Amino acid sequence: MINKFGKDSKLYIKAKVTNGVTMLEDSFFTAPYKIAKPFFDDTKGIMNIMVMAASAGIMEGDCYRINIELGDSSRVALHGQSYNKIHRMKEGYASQFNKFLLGKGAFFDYVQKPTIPFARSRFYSTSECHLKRSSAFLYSEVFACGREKRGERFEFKEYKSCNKVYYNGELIFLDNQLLLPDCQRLEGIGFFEGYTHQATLAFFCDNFNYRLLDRFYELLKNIHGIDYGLTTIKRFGTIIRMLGNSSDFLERILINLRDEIYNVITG
Amino acid sequence: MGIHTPTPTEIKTHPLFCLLQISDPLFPIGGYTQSYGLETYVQKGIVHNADSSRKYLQSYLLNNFLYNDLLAAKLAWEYTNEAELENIRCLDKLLCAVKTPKELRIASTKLGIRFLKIVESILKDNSFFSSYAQLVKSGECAGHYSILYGLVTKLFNIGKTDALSAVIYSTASSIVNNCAKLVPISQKDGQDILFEAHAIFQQLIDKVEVLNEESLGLCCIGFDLRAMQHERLYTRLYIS
Repeated sequence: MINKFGKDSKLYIKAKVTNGVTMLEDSFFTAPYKIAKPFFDDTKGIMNIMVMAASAGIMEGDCYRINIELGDSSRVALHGQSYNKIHRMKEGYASQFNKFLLGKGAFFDYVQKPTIPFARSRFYSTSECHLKRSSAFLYSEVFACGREKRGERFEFKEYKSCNKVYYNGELIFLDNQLLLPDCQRLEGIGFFEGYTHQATLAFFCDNFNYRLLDRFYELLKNIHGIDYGLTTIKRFGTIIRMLGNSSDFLERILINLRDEIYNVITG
Repeated sequence: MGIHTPTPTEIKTHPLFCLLQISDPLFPIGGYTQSYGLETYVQKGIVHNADSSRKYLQSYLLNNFLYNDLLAAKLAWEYTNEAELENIRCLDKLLCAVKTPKELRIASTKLGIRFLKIVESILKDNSFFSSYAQLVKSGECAGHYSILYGLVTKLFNIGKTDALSAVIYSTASSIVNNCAKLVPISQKDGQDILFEAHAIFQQLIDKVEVLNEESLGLCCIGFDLRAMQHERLYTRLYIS
């Protein structure tokens, strides 16, 4: 399909390690993307990059492309600044394509702010991450049913997301979701089951420390008002899924879970 | 690749009897030990009577089964028909990547490998079957039930629609039986739910026909999450 309204918005970041410190090697962006000066977490050796978008949100016809290349052993966390508001659309859609290439021993944390699909919006998102030996990839996302506080529940038209993770070229994880409120009972069994928000945290690493799972259970078992499940994938990693009723609440839990992972990889 | 030409087996069996035998819920591959997350739904009280059992069955078939095992079985039947072993190998890898909850992934390959062992004595002279069996034995492929089901039904000369109809029916029948035992619901209610589901069976046949690999593994957060929760249920009658 041809994008007849907007144009591609690109963000490119390349990082490498020099003298044991992660540095920005190259970067490039087009409107509405902007990146602030990276800030370093010296204790964890991680370069944090804040992505800003000088726009009210995702509009019909928008196409976003994020490309990240991390050199061997570099450590980067990419943070979103504001909620991903997907605005009302006429007959079109908006899309996002992400590609992350991680060198050996590199660490990448993709921290997305919650996604809110407004009524009559359509959004397609595709991400792929390529891992090599001892590299690690962490991502977390929250998805809301709409502007729930104004009573907007599952009034969007379509939301499709596909996340693929490869290890040395082999597909090890594929998360394929398609939400079509007009033809699926999203409040019912199998989908949101009465909740309004979902969240996923996924962590991939070939020297995955299975003791992390017990830490996650310890943390999650004392939290009320959500349903959660966690599992391990066939090769190297864990997936945590949650259902809840608040973006902020689920985001706070994700932060705590991410802290556990940070403790293991930087400890 | 097209180098492995499947040939009809020279055994004295009848396709319909083969189909009835392998799609029987009592076919001894261990299907009756799996609930695929239903046990969590019952323990949490979400599935608690005939009406919620009906809703569970309908949602499971239309939103989950269609895009997972049914689509995989259809693709495996077609790839076998075209003698595309390489596509079968890729499908096997893809299923490992999309079956996120550990117990569902293990159930799929456990049933698959038992299926393979049972039909091996009948199909061992078929080159296409042997090639896939070899990939499973070497560890290159995991041996998913849905792939073996599609592959074996094709090699038994069973038509695609018949093969898919039978696997849809046996899946629904197993769910209704599990509901009768777990919820519990009466056998009569169970059979009413099954009769009522015939319209959905037909929809599944029509829908799966136009789907391709891109739709494989569409996940429903609720089904995924409940299957994951099953790993830590306090009391469990089922393996998944």
